[in-house]
Amino acid sequence: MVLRLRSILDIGEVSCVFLPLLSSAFNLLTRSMTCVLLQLKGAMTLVAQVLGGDLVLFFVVKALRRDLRYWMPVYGVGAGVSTFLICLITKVVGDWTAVVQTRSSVDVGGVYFTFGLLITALVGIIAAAGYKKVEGEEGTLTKETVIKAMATCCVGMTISFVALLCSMNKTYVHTFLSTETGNKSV
Amino acid sequence: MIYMFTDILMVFEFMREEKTGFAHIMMGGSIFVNLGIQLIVVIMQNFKLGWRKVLKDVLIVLTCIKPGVHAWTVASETEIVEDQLFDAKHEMTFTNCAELFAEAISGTVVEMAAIMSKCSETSANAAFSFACCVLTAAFTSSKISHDLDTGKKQRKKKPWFYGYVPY
Repeated sequence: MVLRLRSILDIGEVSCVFLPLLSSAFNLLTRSMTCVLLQLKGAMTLVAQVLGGDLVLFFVVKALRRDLRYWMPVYGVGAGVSTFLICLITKVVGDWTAVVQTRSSVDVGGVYFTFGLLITALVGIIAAAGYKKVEGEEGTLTKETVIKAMATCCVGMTISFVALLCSMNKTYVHTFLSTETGNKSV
Repeated sequence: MIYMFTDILMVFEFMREEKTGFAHIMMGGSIFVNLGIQLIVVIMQNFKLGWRKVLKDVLIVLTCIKPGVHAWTVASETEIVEDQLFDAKHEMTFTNCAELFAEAISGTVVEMAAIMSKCSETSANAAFSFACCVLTAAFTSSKISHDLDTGKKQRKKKPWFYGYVPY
């Protein structure tokens, strides 16, 4: 069964283009749906707290590991500004659209990338489970529909990511679990 | 082009439905933040090459022909000029990331919010625009990864990291 699955997935380069595309689409759908579900509960501050807290945690972890400085040859104030901007954009883009190359240790890192996908699915399921249709309001989604949509996105994201790991060059699977810091790899 | 067209369509639709907040977020994200980040990238990239080069690249960004110029420079394998910060492929990656960060992600969230708040009134235009938004973002994300991974320079420089795409 496993061998058969692997042979189906083993179509080389095509699967390594198509599967990240699927993974990215499902990841984006899961995250945006989570944000909207939290916002519909009237908890815009909760959305801001979750997203802001995640960003602050990322910068704190990077700072504690002495991994804040980006590799570009920019010095002085420019170095601080460029590092902040690049770290922020890379983190957001990596989290929301699952760009596989953000697993690089100079960006978010392998283990953080993979862990981020799990967190996305987990928070999405929690947000869907906590959703309640407002009584008397026409046109809004039922709880059943929301849970089905969220489950589809989470399952789709997980399957496409696992399929990518199965179809890619196996010597690079460990880079998805790497804990290496950027200053060691550059 | 399709993505830009559907974005404009959605802005007009939001304006018509008096959802001006959604329209402002889409316009602000698409135009100001995206172009702002791209301008910062080209200024940093060409800062040491003089104001003429900076001005030329700023005009390329403002006229929205940057993707075409990037495609040409990457395809022709233009070498990095000594005082530039990064090569053409990395510049293209930064620009694509700016588009994802400012345009695609915010656009998807805004359109998802509009659809989910009144799903029974969702028009075909809105559904088409939303599908375009998600698929364009996913395609850009996949393209960034594929382009960097299959680049000869990257594979030669960091063989332990680049090479997950089998040939």
